[in-house]
Amino acid sequence: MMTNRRAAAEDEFRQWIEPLLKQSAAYAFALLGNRADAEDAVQEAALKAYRKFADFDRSRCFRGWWFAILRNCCRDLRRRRRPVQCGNCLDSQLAAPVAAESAEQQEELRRALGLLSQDHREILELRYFGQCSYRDLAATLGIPEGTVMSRLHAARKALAATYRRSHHDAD
Amino acid sequence: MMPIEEWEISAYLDGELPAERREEVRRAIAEDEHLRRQYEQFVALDAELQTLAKAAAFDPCISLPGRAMANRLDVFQWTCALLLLRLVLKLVPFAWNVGLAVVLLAALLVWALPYLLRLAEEDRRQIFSVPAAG
Repeated sequence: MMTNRRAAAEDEFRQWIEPLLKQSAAYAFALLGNRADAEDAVQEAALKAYRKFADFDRSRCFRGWWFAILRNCCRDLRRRRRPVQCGNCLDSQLAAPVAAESAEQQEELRRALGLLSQDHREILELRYFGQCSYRDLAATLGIPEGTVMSRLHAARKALAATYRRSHHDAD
Repeated sequence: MMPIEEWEISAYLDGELPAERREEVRRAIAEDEHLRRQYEQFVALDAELQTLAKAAAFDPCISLPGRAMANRLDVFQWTCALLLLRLVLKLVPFAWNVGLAVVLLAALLVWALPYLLRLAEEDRRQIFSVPAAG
């Protein structure tokens, strides 16, 4: 009975978490800058979330709840290990192969992302790498949806300006 | 029509505006040069960020304690049951042994039957499942 309950609990948790694993890995990768650490962070977050899952209110936004846990795990891991300049991901560790011309562009974009303020970088990483909706972003960051809209817009503007500047510098 | 706020360009791009407002913003972008330029800049940036995110995505492998713990508990329960059976059979006189053994065996079978059936079903599913292409 008890064993069946444990197995059923894991099955239920997996049903919720598995569709999010790929983007979670991408998000952790963006934050930590290497694949091994990203995988460790996702594993650690999955264990934490699994332990808390029984108390999780199913009417709440699961994605937001999960990404908040993952974000904290990434932060802890980054603190424990060597500091990584965000945006300095190694091309060789990227999952999808990148063409040489776009690789340079991507490198510039990563560098521009790394130059943003913490708030701006964070919201863009969650939006693109974590594929979070505005509702998810509000739940993850613990801010109202109105603030998500204005912060995301400001982050995009800041990134566009930084990216444009780095283009000019490169030329 | 209410004036268009700058942040609504972002929300429009993300498909996060209500249908009515969406239409108003779409019209404003078509008519206003400044808004259009900003929108186009965001579209280009959006595409590049999505490419970057796609390149960073991979399938991580996670392991959870639930099923492993369940299997361990199963083994523990089976071992306890068998040890108990052996102990009881040794303690009671022979005449009772046979009867008791039959009763215990029946109880054990009834207890284990759902588990065995589940295992058989999982095996059957594994054997007959079509492997994924690629």
